[in-house]
Parts: sequence; structure tokens; C-alpha cells
Amino acid sequence: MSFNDGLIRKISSMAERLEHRGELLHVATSRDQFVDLVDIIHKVGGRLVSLHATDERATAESFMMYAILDHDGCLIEVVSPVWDGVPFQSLVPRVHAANWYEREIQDMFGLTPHGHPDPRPLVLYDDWPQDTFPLRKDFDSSIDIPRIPREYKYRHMEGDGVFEIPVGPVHAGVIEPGHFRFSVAGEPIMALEIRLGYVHRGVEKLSETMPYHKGVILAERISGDTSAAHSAAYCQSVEQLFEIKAPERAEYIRTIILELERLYNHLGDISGIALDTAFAVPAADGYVLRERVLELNEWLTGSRLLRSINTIGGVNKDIDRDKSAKLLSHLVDLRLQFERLSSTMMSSVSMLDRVEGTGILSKENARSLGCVGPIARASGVDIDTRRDHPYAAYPDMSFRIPLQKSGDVYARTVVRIDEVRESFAIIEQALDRIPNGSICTEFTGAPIKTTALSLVEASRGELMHWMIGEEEKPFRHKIRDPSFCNWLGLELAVRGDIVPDFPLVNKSFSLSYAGNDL
Amino acid sequence: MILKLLRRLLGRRSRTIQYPIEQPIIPAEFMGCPEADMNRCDRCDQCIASCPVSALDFVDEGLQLDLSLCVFCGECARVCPECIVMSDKFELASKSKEGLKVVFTYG
Repeated sequence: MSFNDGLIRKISSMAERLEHRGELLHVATSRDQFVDLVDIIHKVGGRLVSLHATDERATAESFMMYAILDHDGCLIEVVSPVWDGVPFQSLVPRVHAANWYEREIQDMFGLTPHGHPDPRPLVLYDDWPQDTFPLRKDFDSSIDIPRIPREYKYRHMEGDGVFEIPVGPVHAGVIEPGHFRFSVAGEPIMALEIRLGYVHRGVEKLSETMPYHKGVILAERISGDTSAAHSAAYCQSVEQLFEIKAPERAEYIRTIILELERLYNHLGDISGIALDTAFAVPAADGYVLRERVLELNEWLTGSRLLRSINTIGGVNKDIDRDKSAKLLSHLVDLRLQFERLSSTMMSSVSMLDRVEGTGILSKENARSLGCVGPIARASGVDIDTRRDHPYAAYPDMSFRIPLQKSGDVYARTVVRIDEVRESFAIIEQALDRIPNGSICTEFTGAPIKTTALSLVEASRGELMHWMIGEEEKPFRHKIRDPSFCNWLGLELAVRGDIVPDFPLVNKSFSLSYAGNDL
Repeated sequence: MILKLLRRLLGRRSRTIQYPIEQPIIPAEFMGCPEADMNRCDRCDQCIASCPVSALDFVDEGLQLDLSLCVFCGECARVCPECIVMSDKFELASKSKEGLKVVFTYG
């Protein structure tokens, strides 16, 4: 990992201050230079990891805006002040991935992006008062917020024979709430607009009131099926703040837990895709496998969804020799069953006919929207946090990163199938090499560093927890769930497909509503 | 072929149990209702401070746990392994909200 010299020179000519903070290059710049600077890094291939604001009016007399970019395995944090009442220049015309981030900043901080092509509200309820901004430090969360009726303006398509189909926010079945509005002319979808925010709970604000050890439990509950990844990301950032290191054994156990989470999620997604093509037999077989992994989780850790395992400084539950042996034998059996399942699915012509060429997300679109995880990899974007920014025991593991090029439902299914195989292999390697020793270092003292950034590859892709720490609790805690980057990809992927293909494409994206809405 | 299949189907055991007549096998790590042994409690407040949802509190008779709040995270058992364990109890339903308040009494 080394920074490109030419780029560094360019950056430093525009920066007010340049500082290496471990893996991260911190660049402070003026408001005028911010957009240009981010654009320069973006143009040479920098990927926007996050764009968020903080309310530092008490110390710095302004809000601060942070853009985090990943350029060739190097993380660059660009920061500039933003003032209340002065609109800031929008990044979106040049960096499309900034779209939702800037709308989120507008909702939460009341800072207006100037030149944003679509400055509608994003996160807050439709009847949330327009002058109340929850993430400002002077926001009082104890008072009741009055509800002021307001209408959200959807994009409309007009013309002969163009119809709108509204779906949701309440859906049939046990899924989360989200509103989908299709504009159709006959069967093909001309445009889809997604409206989310129905499960906004104010997690980031809540986290600012939670002492670190309680914050782990909050992080586990951000998105139900990503609890291990969220809690690992949270713990890693607090560990950075306090400069403590989890023992090596704990890092291995974390790796095993994270891979078990990926396993049950991918198995669920693969079965879901089979189910949505009305291929019931492998769907049922797949759900049996998923249930077996969940039961294995419970037997191993006491929690089906792997909660209460990660803790600051390590893990709570050990994997002893007996457990390790039994887990290995279960994995062998699961592997055999899984191979049978995948060959049934991938040799069925009727299934392939349905998934091939459906819901195509092009590589250009995936890149420009900043998509992450299996969705990006199915479109040929080669990113995986486990390799690019290794954490836990991943530096010691050898694994492949499956890539596909076609970007359709088929590619997303194949990527997941291959990742399941890799997960089996990673767990086996970790169990084989797990070192002896303690599983948790004591977490005491005061924070040494002020900011922390932790990236984890959750089953849906790169997950970020970013923190400014105070003595007892975070001053600002930014969470960026992988789904936040991928939802807009779905809008593009369904264009031109027929309406009955939407559930299938949606399933192949497998996005979290709760993680997105926070 | 068919005979083989029939034999396999006939030999298959039921995957479900006759709950509640039969009790399920609960894994050793299972985190059910927290249980406090108040004979060992020195009222240090650590469990109460550790609870992320404020489900624990001291009352006159002992330590009260509000199951309507508890998220079964096991933090209390982690900070005070001497008194509190996560038991294997999972049948915790009650007809009233008051019934969800469990008090662990002294002595």
C-alpha cells in the first residue's frame, strides 16, 4: 500500500493540512477546494466510501464535512468546514455516488447542497418539521416532535399508456417496509423510484448517548441479519480509539463468526432466488441448510443471529477443541449438501432461462453509484474489504474473490454460490490455525485517539463505522451500511425488465431496509 | 429404486417434537432468562449499570428484572458472573405486564 506520488503532490497543493493517521491519509482543506479535491481523487479511480457531516460548532465554530475515499487500497479522508445557512457546493454532478449522502446530510443537519439535481428529503418521515435537524447537537431528543403534513413529490412519467404501480410500504410477507413506484408502459418497467426511511429509528443520534460498552449492543441491532458485522465494526472502531488490540485468538473467532453470518445470509439469498423463480425444491433444501447454520450458530454461541459475541477488546465466547471438531464435521456435511443444491439449481434450464439477462447492472453504473459487495462483484467491480483493508484474521487466510461480468441475477447467484464455498474454506482454515491464548483484553482507560474508521465486509458488502470519540461515548458515530450504496443500483437494474421480474431482481440484490434507514 | 426410496421414507424420524409434552433440547450456550443468586449479591450496582435497556433495578425485596425490556444480551451475567447466569428458561410469557417483572429475593 503506497500512495501515488503525483496524486499526493496534487492533493498537498490544495490541502491546508496533510496528516498520516495510520492507514488513513487525513486531508484538511477549505470549502472552495473540497469539491475539486474529491473530484481529483475520484477521477483517478478513488471510490467514495462515505460522505458525512458532524456538528462541531462548539469547538470549530462550524459544521464539518468528511468525504472518505478508497484509492487503490489507500483510505483518504478529506475534511472541510460547512457553515449554517450557507449552501455548500454539491459533489453530485461530478461524483454521482454522493447523491444520497448529501440528501441525508440535508435531512439530518439542515445543510443545503447547492446544485444537487434531486434535493428532496431522504431519511426523515414526510411529516417531520422542516426546521428540525436531529443530528445537530442542540436537538433535544426528549421532546415530542410535532407532525406537519407535507407531501413527498415523486417523479412522474407521462405519456399515452404509461401507468404507475405503487407497491408498499407495507408488503405481503415478513419483509421490511419500503415504497416502490413503477412507471410502466405495458409489461416493461420504464422507471422505478424507491422511497425508504420507514424504519428510521435515529440510531446515530441514539449512539451518541450510549456508553461504548452499551453501544455494541445497539450496533448488533442496527440490521438484524448483520449483527456480527455491525458489532465487529463498532468494536474495531472503539478499539482504535482506545488503542487496544484484541488477542489473536479473538480475531480468529471473530473471523469464524463473520463467515458464519455470511454463510447463513448467502444460503438464504440463494434459496430466495430459487423460490422467486418458482423452483421450490432447491429453495426448500436451501432453507433447510440455512436453518442448520442458524442452529449451529446457537449451539456454538448461544445466539442464532450471533449476537452478544463481539465485545470491545475481543469476544465473549470461546470455541474450544470439542466445539471446533464438531463444527468441522458439520461443515463437511453442509458442504456436500450445498454442492448438491448448487448443481440442482445451476443445471436447471428453466431456472437459468429466468435468471440470465435479468436485472442487469452494468459495470459503469455499479462503479459510478459506488455499489459494494456481491452486487458490485457480480458486475465485475473487483472490491472486497477482506482483501483490500484486511481486519480480524483475514490477513492470514487464503481465499478467492469470485467475480462475474454479466451483472445479471445469474451473476449475483453465482457470486454468492462461490462465496459460500470460500466461506466454508475460510472457517476451516481459521479453525485449523486458531492460536491459543485469551479471548479478550481488558477495556479500560480513556480514549487516546479522537477519530476511528473501521471497515468490515458484511454479507452485503463493505460496512463502515466511523467515529469521533469522547471520554465515555461517541461524539459522532457514522454508520454506512452496504445497502445504502446498493439501493440505487436496483433502480437502474430493473429498467427494461418486466414487472414480474422485479421480485427476483430485488431478491438478488437482497438489501437491508433497517441498515439503510438507520 | 422405489423400494429403496420407500425404505428411506419409512425410516425417517419425525423432525418435530410434541411440545409441551416433550421438551426441546436446549444448547448449553443458550441465553435465556437471566437468573440472579441474591445470596451472593453485594449490591454493587454493576449489573444495573451494565444493562443497556435499564431492565434491572433494586426493589425492597431484592433485584427486579423487567422482562418486557430485557434483550437477553447477557451483559449483566458478564459483569457479575458470581451472581447472575443466563439460564435455559425460555417459557417467559405472561398475561399481564406486571407478570413480566421477575424479582430475585434475598435469602
